[in-house]
Amino acid sequence: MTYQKAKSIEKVSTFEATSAFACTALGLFVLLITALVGCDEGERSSTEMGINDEYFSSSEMIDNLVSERLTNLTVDFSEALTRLESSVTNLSTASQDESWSIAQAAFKDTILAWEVVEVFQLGPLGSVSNVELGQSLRAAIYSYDAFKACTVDVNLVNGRYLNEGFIAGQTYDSQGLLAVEQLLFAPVNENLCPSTSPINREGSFAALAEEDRLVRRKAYLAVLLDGVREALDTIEGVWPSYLIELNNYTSSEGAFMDYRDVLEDLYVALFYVETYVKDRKLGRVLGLYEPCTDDVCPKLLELYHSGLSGFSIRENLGAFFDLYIDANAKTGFDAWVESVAGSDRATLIRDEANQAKSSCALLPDSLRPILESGRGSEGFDVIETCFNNLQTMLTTYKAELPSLLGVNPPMESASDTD
Amino acid sequence: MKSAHASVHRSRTKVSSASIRFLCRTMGALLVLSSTRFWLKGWLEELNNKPQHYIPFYRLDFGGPPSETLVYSVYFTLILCGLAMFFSLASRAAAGLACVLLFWVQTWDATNYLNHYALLVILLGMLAMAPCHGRRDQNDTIDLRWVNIFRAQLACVYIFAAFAKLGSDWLRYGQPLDLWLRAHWDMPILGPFFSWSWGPLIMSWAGFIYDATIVFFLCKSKTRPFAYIAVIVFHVMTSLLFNIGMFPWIMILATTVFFPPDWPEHLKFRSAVKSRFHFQKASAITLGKQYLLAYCFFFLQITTASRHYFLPGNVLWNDDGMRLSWRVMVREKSGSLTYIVHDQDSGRISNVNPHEYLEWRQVAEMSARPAMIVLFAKKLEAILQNGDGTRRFQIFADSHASLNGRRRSRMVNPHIDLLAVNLSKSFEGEEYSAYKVSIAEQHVVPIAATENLLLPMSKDAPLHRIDIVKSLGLRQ
Repeated sequence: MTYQKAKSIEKVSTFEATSAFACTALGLFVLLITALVGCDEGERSSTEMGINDEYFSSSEMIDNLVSERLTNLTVDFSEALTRLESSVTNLSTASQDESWSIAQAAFKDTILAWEVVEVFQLGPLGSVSNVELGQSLRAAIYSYDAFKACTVDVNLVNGRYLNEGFIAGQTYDSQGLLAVEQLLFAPVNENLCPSTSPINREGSFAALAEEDRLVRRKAYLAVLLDGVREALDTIEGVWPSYLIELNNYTSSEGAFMDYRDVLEDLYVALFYVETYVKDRKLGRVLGLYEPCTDDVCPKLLELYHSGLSGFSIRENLGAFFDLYIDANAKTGFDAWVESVAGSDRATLIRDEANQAKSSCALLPDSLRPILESGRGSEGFDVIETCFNNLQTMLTTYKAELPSLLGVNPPMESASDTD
Repeated sequence: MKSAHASVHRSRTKVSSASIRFLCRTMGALLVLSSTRFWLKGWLEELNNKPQHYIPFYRLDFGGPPSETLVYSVYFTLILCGLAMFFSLASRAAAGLACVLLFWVQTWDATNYLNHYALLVILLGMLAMAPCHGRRDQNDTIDLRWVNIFRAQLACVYIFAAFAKLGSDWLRYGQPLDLWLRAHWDMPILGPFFSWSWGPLIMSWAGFIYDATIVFFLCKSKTRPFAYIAVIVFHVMTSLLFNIGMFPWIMILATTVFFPPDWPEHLKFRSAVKSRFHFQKASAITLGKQYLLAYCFFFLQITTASRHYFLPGNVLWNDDGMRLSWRVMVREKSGSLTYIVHDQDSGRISNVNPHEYLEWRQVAEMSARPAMIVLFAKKLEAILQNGDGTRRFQIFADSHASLNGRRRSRMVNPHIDLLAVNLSKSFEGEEYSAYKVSIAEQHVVPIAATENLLLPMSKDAPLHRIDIVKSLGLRQ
């Protein structure tokens, strides 16, 4: 074979090899694409894409929320608070007097109206760090979970509540409705401080006569209710401007960039139910979460003295479900899911929510007797079922809503993504 | 001998360093903007000092964020470095320092990891090593290989981003773009397109084709101007549609390295002849075989980015090999997580909501990533020990996640003690299946409902106290 011929053969084979390589590579690429596109990463079916107005309208949801819920959010609470203020003014200094029962009934109306407001931790009511225009004003009225009962008894003994500017000088954890509950319902001859506390160690609490304690309670209650009223006035003062901002979500100059900003704040309600209702109001007393170290912990119940722990959870969840499940109108989160993922998916989410709703609706007004009777007592399974169904529902909500709807947990928007 | 000499000669081809100087200046400007943005938005506090605890990277735990003063000092230094780079004052040293500091910042908390920070760290490192002093000098030239290394780096990002999109979610179902674009149905002009049934799928294919071909078109001188317009349009759109911070601007400015190395000189109406000469020299975008350093660098990068192909499971689901793989914007994943702690001394079992210790943002990041769930479980044990060190715990996870709009599925095996999981072995078959629930085992169902939705709920029902008690054979 001559050198030229060999060179020519080499060229041809190089060309052929190159062409074969290119064809093979192209073929493999096509096969790869076909295979990868054809093979599922997981089952799916085609879905109607885009917001489907048939199921959901974000503007209707926001309009409905503002007009039906938020505009008059604190009205019931304010009216009940007025009745409570009036009943406290009429309190007698005899513990068995009917005036105390009247004040206690007024408190029940007040706290239950508040438990609805409590779920809507939006704008001025919400946390500074969690929602748009948050001012944490809610804490001055209700500070469940951070409340320090002993401080209330210490103040009762030393009479500091009579000082000018007492409320302003107090931290939120010893004022508001829980302090009112304690003074209205807790046994007059007991206090909630440990034996090592000065009021017990030095005997200053024991030195007070029962009548004196009741006089002090009445005066202290009036001061506390003044504080609650002042906090409510502050909220009601800024609330209309918040609603204007909320309604102004279509304008790029407002606090809310678009409808998603508003809906994301509403999504925060979910985390109230997650951390407060499920974990604390139910999980802790069931012995599932710290700081409960016993089998069950009735002492950690919300509204322990008034015996409204079950009632308050029902009110919380009622408000929450109004927001999240609204099968008849196009204004609930379930309707939003339906518009994105179809009715069957929405039905599944609704079913879990309805299961939680119906099981928690069976909670008795007070969980205390059941928990004090211990695990296995009659009615205990009702509390456990409510907790378990809430957990199932919230697991789905937390795992699926951010993916389906693009909503984020509080302050998830800090920083960028990917 | 002659061939070897020619090869060496080619390796020493000198071209204008103007494009690298431009890159250095613009990356400096972006560093200043990015760091100032973090500062002004309060993210330094929010991301670094507000959290009580942090989640470390596996084998890369430098103790989390430093004190508030030091955090602010680091960002202040980053701003100074950016300014130095922008004004070409000791720009290589500034880029090197910025690279080290930004890398350190990234290690503070694994939940803060973002691909574009990683890219910025790499680009800063390359700028620190490139023999380009930043000051404009007519004789300032650079070895062609440096320009090509920058080009290859960007090519890596685009090509791997294209590979990441090769899958049914992206190309057949238009996910997760469909989920994301829905949010923009009210956007002027494009909104109706996004909400049209085929809109997201068309956008998905367009994104895939863009990523797969843009490098090719940027390399060809005839198509380069049009390709660059496509780069600008694509990245401006992603910036408008998604919350991806500085990434679009990094890419828009960095892809200018595909232009002839002296292109900034053209902007200043410098000698056209000289520029054309450089243009021709620079048109050959090839890496010479002798560039060992570049080969090593890209071998490392390619193996790092493709490592997930050799690991079991779906990387989008289990996150193994996700980092530095340039799989950008290809999934929407969210999860729900509760730890179940078994105190072996007291026999007590309690639930722990990670939010008790972490910020919501951290929990959201962690709860859909199995390795992070394990890493924080180990940290949680240390927290619960409270300095004691003698208490014995087992920690389990009730973890569920949803990927690209699917129904939620269990992510971590709830009956495996996370404290016993050895992450270095978790890629091995037995350990892997024991610890993670693979995507194949879940009932993965579509966004739109089918009869599959009626699968028994019990499989994925959250773990209740009674389940763990039964599984461990413990007293209640």
